[in-house]
Amino acid sequence: MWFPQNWNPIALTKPGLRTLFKLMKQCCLEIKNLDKLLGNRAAISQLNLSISKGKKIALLGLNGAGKSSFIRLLVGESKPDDGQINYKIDQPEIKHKNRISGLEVGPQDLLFKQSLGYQSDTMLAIGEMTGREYLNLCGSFKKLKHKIINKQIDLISLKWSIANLLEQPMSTLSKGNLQKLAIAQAFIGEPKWLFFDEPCQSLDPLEQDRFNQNIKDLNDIQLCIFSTHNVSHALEVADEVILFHQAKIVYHFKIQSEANQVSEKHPQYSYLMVCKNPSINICEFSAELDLSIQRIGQQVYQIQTTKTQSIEQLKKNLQQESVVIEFCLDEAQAVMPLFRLLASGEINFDQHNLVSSLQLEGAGQ
Amino acid sequence: MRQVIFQLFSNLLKRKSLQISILITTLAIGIFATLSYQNFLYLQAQNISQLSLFNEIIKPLSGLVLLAQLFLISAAASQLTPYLNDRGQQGLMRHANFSSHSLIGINLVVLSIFSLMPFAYFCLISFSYLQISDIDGWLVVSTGFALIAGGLLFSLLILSVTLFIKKPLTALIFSLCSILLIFVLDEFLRNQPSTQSLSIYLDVFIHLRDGLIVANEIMFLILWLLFLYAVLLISFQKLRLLSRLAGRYLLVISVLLIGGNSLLLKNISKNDSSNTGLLGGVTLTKWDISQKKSNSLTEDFAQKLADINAPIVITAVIDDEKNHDEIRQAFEVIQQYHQDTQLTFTSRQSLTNQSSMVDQFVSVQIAEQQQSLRYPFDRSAKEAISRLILQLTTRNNQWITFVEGHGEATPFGQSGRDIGLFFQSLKQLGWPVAMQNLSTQPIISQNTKVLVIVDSKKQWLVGELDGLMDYLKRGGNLLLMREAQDKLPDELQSFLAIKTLPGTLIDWQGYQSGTPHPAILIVNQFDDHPIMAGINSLIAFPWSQGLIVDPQEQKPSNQYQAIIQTHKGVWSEFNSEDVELAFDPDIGELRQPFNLAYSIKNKNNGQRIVVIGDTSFLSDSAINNYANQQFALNLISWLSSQSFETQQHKNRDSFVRATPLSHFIMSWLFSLIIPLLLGFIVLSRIFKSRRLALKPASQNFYEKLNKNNGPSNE
Repeated sequence: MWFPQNWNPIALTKPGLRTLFKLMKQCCLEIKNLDKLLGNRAAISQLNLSISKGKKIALLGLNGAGKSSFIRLLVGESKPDDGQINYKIDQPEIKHKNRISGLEVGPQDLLFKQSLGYQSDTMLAIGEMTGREYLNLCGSFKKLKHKIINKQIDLISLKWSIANLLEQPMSTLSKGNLQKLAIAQAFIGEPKWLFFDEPCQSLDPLEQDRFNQNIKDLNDIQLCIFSTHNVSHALEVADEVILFHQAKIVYHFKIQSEANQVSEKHPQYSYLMVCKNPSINICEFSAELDLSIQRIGQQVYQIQTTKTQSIEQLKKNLQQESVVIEFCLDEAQAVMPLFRLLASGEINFDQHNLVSSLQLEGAGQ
Repeated sequence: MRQVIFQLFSNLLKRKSLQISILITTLAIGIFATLSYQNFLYLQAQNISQLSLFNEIIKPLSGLVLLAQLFLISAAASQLTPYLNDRGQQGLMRHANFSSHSLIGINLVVLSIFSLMPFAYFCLISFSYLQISDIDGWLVVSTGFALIAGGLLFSLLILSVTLFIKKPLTALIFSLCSILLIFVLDEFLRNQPSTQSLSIYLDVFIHLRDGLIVANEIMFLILWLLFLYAVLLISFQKLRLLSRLAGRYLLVISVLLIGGNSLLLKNISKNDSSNTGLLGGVTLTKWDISQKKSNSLTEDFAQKLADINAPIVITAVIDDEKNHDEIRQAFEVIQQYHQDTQLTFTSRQSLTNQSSMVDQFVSVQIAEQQQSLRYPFDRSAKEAISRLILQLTTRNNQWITFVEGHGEATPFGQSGRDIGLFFQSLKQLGWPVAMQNLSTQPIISQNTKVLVIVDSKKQWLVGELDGLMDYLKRGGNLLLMREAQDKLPDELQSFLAIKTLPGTLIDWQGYQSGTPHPAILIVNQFDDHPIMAGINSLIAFPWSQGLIVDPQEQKPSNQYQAIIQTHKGVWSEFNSEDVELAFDPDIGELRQPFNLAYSIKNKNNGQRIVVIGDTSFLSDSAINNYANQQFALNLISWLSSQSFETQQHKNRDSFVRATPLSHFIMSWLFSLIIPLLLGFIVLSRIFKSRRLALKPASQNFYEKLNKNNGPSNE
């Protein structure tokens, strides 16, 4: 049994419990108290996270925020100094040692590795090996048969447009083409767990679009996580976005697509607001304006509502109270301004007050 | 797993550094084999004693092959994980869907394939030599096992060393240094009396090459393999961020076993085996798989050793420590059969200040008797020391006495007819030899084991004859060598019942094949007689006579057996001094197979006599040809009922039967043709890969795909 971190007491109501159970059933990755030091510096600090099955997660953050370290911990490239990473294998017919299916495995577990697809940002060419030989080698290490590997290579090469790279020695490929090959090898073996570290670096705009489209088209996967510096691509492709800053997750939100808004009976809108030195308690406006306002950091507020007009009213009220609003935008649009303020040190997030919009979603229902 | 191994191996094979390494090692082995072959042919022509193709070629070749294996393993290992680490591809191993044991197996197999390349070349060369010489096949097999064991051991070591290194060149340097370290450590362990039994690999290699399997050494090698495997397992578990508990348990177990084995085998030093510990008796077991049994003794001699009730003390006064090994090896063999044997080394300087005045020697002492032999020996240390021991145990009644006084060939003469070399050989073998003039000393003593008469040219006095007949009648052994016109008493001839046929034997066929004179017979047809055991070469008989058993004089108590027979084209020439020789049956010349030697064995008293229709074969001018000396010594061995093993004999692989094809193969195939072929393959692959890199985008790919799957949507 597990409980999501920072659970809201509201979630303990009957509908909340139902949702909790639903979340538990769907959760495929759970991280508890993860710590990783690189030398004297914390690469990851007290990280807690739960992710549902089938999600595509984008990791955003400034340089050195801890995105790559996080991905390396997730795939088992490095070992955490503290904490746990657990994956739930959702294949009832699989038995591993004495365990029954559906139980948790770690990043080092063979059950996890056999469904893992990972693209690292440090992959270089292997000398005289051709692209096809390289993909064959990757498939062999995944214990796939030769015929299956060849079939998959054919499909992958069409999907990722690497047909012209297959017969060339890797040493003759450009950086961008190597990157395409590195991404393609992650798909050998039809993995369920996909991890990409800066996949779009060195890719031309066309290939970046191809990447985005292919990721969007992914289905029947357990989880896909990729890090990127391109905010618009992240917002376009991912289901959820995790913001990293100084070895911590500062914010985690779900992309509100228009289709979701239209289809849901009571669509939920989430906003982030940054106010400069407010003299009043902004949370007091929650009841008055039918908003859910929560302070999640120094001068940072999360606002959730079903009525967009309430936000406008809140702005007016705050302006009347002479509160300077740095910005008040929906989560997707707030990413860049947020990073700017984080980088300059003008704001920070309170870790213990961080509430993921995903968890409030269940409470709202 | 096979697929991964194939992929890795084929990729490694594409690396230019490895291709060049393979080419270099192949060339080195081939050139060495060819030069050794040429050198062996030269030595064979010189008729060097104790020549052995295995010792001259295969043994040193195996050392070179081992070095080549280690070099290739290092080169391959540096291109394996370190190269992947360097290229940011360490994830391939780390995230592989294999257990750590499987990954170790994969890496080991890939390295072993490279290690087996020089080994395969070695097998090819050895096989070629097996076709043209009588090499001991079991020695080649045991040498092969030694090489395989070495390849496995060093593969494990080098893999452990290079697993976490990120640069191929650094990995190569570390590998070579670790190999050097192991050899230095091994040599140190071997040279210290308290740790002699802890040798990691060198002892195994040296002993297996000699056809000796020592249980203790094999056990230690296995334990070291286990230890290295444990280290490798821990390394792989660390690489994959898995629990290292299993590896640690294995490491502790292997260390305990190695330490425990060493403690249990306390006092296992080369000099003292009196306390061998609990398992010492088992682990000291040795198996000699060589055909020549060069690491063991015959049953007869083993029995003699077992019958000795006193300690055997061997003292080796040898200055250079490098020469101690062969004495030590001989000591170990003897110690197997006589536990109470001791060996001490000392230098000449410790005996006397004037060390240059004293020769190096080895002495053997049994009870109060002592016998010494000058060092260096002219045969194997084991044979020399065994002879010393045998001589000490049978000294009083084993004399070889040469009769003189009738113009016999003498060991002290200068003419080519004389038998100085033969006499010296007997002495060097440890036989007590003496000359006896029957006119002054008519009584032949009871200590005489074999009496030798070599071509008497003068009449015998009555007293001499009486002494001789008296000796023969009481069962004394005799070696009688006849020549044309020799003067032998009739009574002796009647006693022996063997006559010479008139005429000198002429072999015209042999002369046309290359002998210097038709009267020099080259014989290779031997009857099945114990004297001929171990003789695989030809024997030359210059100016010989045929022998025949006189049926009228033949005694029922005697068993007559022909030893050597000529081919049927030989005839007995009555005028052998003529310039032109021709078979003339009209004057009574015979053309038939002639018996050149007979043995006579008395069924009642065990007396042994050999009559030979030639003396010259063991003269100084002829004894070093072909197998003449061996034959002469075999005669003495059989007559004295000594085991042949303790006698010096020519090795079976002392010559090659070179045909034009085999000569071509040995001279050119290994040193030139095969390396050239490999070089051609390497170059063609380089050009092919360059052409492939320049090839335009694979439009063929889509054609192929459409052909297999139908039209694509691309």
